Amino acid sequence: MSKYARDEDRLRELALGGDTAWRAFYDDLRSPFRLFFLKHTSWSNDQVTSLYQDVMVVLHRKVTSGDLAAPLRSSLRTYLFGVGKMLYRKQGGTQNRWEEEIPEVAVPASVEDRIAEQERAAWVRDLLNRMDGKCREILEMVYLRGFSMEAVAEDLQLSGAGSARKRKFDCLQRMRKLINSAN
Amino acid sequence: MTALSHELLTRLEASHRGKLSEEEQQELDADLAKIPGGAEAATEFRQLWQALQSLQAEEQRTKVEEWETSWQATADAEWIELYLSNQLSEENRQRVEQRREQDEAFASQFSDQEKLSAGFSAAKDEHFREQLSQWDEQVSTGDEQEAKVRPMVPRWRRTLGIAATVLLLIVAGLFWNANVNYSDQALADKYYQNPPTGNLMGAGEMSEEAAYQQNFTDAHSAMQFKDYDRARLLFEKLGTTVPPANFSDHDLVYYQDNLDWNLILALLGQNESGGVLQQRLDVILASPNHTYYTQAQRLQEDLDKFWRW
Repeated sequence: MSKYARDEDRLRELALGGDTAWRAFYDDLRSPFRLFFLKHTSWSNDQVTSLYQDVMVVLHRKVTSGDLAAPLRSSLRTYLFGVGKMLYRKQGGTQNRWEEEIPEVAVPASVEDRIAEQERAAWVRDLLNRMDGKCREILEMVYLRGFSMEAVAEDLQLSGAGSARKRKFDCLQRMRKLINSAN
Repeated sequence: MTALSHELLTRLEASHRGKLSEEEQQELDADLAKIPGGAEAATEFRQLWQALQSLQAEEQRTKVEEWETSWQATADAEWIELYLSNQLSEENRQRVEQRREQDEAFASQFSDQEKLSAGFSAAKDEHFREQLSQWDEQVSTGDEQEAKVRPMVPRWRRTLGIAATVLLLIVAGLFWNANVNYSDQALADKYYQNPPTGNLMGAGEMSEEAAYQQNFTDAHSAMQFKDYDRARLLFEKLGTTVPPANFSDHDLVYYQDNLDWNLILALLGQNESGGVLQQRLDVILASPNHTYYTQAQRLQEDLDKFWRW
């Protein structure tokens, strides 16, 4: 049995992408995370809250994309602190001795540039809005809510994961056509 | 416009997610190069996937910001609690103090919360006192003995020589007292208490907890063997370790307070009763809710005793 069986159960629950599970996770880890950074850094309340939100966004991406999956090598809490440490450093936080105790966790570069990220998000949202309902639905399920192909197939009553994957790629090709039609 | 096959798109998406080996990536690049417009098509798909990830992140951020609003009502209360339980960095303590000076409503909330906190603390002490009385009653089985008080009879007929000897003995006694009872190491010994180790209130993953617990036990073993250098090192290390995930809030306070206090004693044991120690002691003295607040007050009195000068 894994050392982190309880965390792995929770990770599986989070990977399904449900808001309830993520909300509970956010609430559970908020106090310990804030307490640690408010005590061990000079960052203010608002800075630490903002850091925690960034950490949650990164973790959400890692979990729904399957980058972070069982078996875990540390508890989810330690991992979360690891993401926090990396973002803290990237956002100009001063080096601290406690950092040695926390693991290094790679953070996607795109998350750091909020403005570029917002522009990309607005652009693709516009493309999605210009697509037919069925394509929009499947692309949102897969790319925004992190559904597996099996879950998409079940939800859309398709014959199986293969069929769902085919439809997803057809819709992606159509989306690409929209880029070209806009140019 | 070049269309890519589903098989190629599957590999391209895996490549975008960083899931291809170097060899697989080279194969994919070669296959794309064989198709007219293949490389451009691949670039556009990558652009789409990256943008979809950005949209996902932005949507998640919006949700997270909504969740945070539900905490706003209690934000100040949490902030004050962290201050009162000495859980803030020096910079953040100053921010709280500054806000108390500038924000009347905050100052009032602070004052109320401080009173409540002191009340809870007193209630806890009272409960403990009652518990002690009960234990005391259980231990004493009725064979109470009255202490015999023998009145001191002053003897005035002393010779000058005897008086001088007594004076000398007093001075020698003071030196002995200062060395034996009030030296740094004697004070470290006097205030040190070995805590119960080996169990925790929370439950869950044992490895992280066990490692933390082991370091905690090792640090206290070093204290018991008067290896203050090692004790200090271990307490400092524990102080910067992320506590185990399954620690309850109660556990966090218990361990943090214990580390704060024992680090002071380890410093004393190292004969470092200067600024570093005083700074740490001041932090506890500024926090009446700290588990070791009373001990810290007594230690401060002992450190200030005139024969230590």
